[in-house]
Amino acid sequence: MSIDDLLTRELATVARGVEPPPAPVDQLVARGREARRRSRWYAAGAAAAAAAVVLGVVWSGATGGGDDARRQDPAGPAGDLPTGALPQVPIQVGTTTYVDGRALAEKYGPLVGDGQGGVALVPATRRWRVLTEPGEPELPAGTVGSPAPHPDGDRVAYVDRTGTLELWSYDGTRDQVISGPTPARESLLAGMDSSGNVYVTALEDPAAPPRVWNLADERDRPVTYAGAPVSLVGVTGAGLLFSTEPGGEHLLGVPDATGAIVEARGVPDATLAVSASGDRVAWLTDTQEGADGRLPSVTVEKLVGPPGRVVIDLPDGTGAGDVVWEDETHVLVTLFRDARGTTQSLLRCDLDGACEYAVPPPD
Amino acid sequence: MPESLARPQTGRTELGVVVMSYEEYVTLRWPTLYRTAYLMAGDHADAEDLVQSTLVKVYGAWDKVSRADSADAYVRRVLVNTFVSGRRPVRFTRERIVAAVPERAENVEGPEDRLSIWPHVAALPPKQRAVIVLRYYEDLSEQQIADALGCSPGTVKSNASLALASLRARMEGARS
Repeated sequence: MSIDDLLTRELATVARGVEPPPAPVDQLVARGREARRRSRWYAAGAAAAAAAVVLGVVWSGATGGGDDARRQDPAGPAGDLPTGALPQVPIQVGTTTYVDGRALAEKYGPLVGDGQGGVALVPATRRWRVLTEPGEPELPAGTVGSPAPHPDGDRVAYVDRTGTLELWSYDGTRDQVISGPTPARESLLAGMDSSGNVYVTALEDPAAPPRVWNLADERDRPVTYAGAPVSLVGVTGAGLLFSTEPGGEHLLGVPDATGAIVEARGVPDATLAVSASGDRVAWLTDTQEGADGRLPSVTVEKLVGPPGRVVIDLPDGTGAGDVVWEDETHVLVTLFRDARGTTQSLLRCDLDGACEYAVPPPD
Repeated sequence: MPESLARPQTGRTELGVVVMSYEEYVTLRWPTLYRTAYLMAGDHADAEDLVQSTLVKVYGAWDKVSRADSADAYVRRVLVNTFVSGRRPVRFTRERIVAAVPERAENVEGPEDRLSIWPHVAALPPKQRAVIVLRYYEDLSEQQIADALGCSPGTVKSNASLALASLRARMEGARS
């Protein structure tokens, strides 16, 4: 039986075995009314501050200090937003891939590695292709999981079927080969950071405690924090996203030569991106308009130096898909509209909350 | 396969369009939404939370939803986004990886047909899991899944591909 047939059969079997409880209609109506009442209150307050405003900026001098936030002059309705240059980092908007400030005519599969290092890495037929290099070279076949671009943009790391970690250069040479201690099928590359750390976990359990190779000494060690193994959340150029327990607070840190993370800072449990320097984090506060009237927004917060936070409301009627850093002072936010519209656009915002379209909505 | 999600011909009529009340919709669609939520969330408590959160959100927009070409598509989108954005991947994968199959599942199939892939589906990251449920249970097209998730069909394809690769690897691992 094919895996497709197996999935179809077993999901149907499980669903048939589920007996839903009675629908709590009255309770839902009551909760819905309450949520709508709060939403109207919010809308009235917002309208007084910025009627017909689509973009607004809130600045708070204190981390998490929403009480002190003050709304600045709105940037104007979405229709008046200017359109600037095309995105300067690899990114996909709808079915279009943007690389080096140009839109590619060909349709590609999804970018992997979030464009880290300015590398556009996409799936080709049974291989991975680098769009940002002359000749669009392809990685060897037989990689396990997704490869990861080096933050410097000069190499790509991957794990092959033998469990070996390889660093692959665009001319086809393999710079460094590290044999993993675990059986091949258990190795899964989690990503690389700017410190030369390569994080690997287990394919059987992607959230298993990660191990780290530092490319300088070619040894792998378990990542620990406060003496205990950590739970993997993700990898950014600025370090490892982890928690001390499953479901716990998300932290960002870089292991030392022994694999120990000595200093970590809290980051939100949300779709987020850390700037390449590690100085700021941007995250999607709400990806869609909530029943309580909260608008989709992106929040940018300083991770070093004096605390500071900017909250940028997104254009009315849009939802946010993802956020990436274009450089140290600009974030890009992919936007979508209602499911029936399926239009997509890309917003570029600076650290003052001023925004423009990098890719405007279709007419 | 879930029952048809086509809009039923009940409710009041306005300008020739059949408009269902919120209460009618909830009563009619609760079982279907619950089962889909269960396949995504993996247990009854989370499934109930997920459906309730979804329907509370939908209440505030019911005037618009009820006149939409497909109220079900709108509600499905809210459901899927509530699931994906509300999940912590670590918590989900760590907790769900040992999740037992539903109590009644083994009674439905004989011992030789024990569920072999469902426990592994339960361990997938939320987005991949949503794609698998929408594709293999709801029988949606890539475009419909992309609409529900608010992403491109390419992203759907890649999530499906990663999920299937992971499921194959997990099943091989379980056999060896």
